[in-house]
Amino acid sequence: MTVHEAAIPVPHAAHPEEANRPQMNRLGLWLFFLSETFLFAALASARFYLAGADRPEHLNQALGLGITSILLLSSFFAYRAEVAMAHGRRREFFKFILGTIFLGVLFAGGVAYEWATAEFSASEPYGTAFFTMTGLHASHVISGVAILALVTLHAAKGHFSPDSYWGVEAGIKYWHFVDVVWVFFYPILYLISI
Amino acid sequence: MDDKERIELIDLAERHWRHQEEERKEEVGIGWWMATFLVVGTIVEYVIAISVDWNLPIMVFINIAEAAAIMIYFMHLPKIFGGHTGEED
Repeated sequence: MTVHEAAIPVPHAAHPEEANRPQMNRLGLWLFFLSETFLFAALASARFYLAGADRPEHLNQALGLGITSILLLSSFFAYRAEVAMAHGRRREFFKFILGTIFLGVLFAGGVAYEWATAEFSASEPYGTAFFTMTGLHASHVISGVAILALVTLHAAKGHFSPDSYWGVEAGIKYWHFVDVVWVFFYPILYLISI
Repeated sequence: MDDKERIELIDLAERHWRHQEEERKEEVGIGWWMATFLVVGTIVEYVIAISVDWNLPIMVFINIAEAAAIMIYFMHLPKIFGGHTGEED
């Protein structure tokens, strides 16, 4: 066996079916995202069914822009955390994953502030759509924060390595998915006019 | 293991490390480009929203572009059936 041959591991020789596991895991996660997409799409269409394209005059658009920027920035942090884990940079991983969690909590706080100061009620058509959509999304953000906290805890115990970090990848993909949902919810609730 | 094999092994490890480092820098670069694109895109759509009355087509375009960029570059959608990130040994 040459050095080059020795450098290339022969994966899963004993259990060939194990070789497909990463692909199956990823496919399963994306199917979960697809099912979630239907739920969020139903809510988005309900917003137009209930309130048309109308939105209240005193909607806090600056706050909407602020929390959207925070969530997009958190996706960048999550991406950097995944890159750091893939290259075995543990300290960098912890810095970015904790940054992601902090920004997620900040986003949830922004939504809570928006709820507390909103000048429309949940009984109005727009309010019904607004509180349902932001509420369901915020619950996903909170669960995302919990998942990332769990991932951080496992990473601190040394459960992940550059060769095996599916838990990190899945948690961060979920975080990006929550971000993608908000990319559509933000204009639907705050910006679109027809 | 003789000296020749040892040197070959060290050389291979060095090349592997350099390749990994280049790959990492490229990935970090993609991250910065994406962060800039997403923040600029969000600010542009906000400015359009407060200055253009009938903004639906522009909003749809910007948001599909942003979502596609996140799914391709952050979520690695093209690697769904054969990527290398996070594989288990």
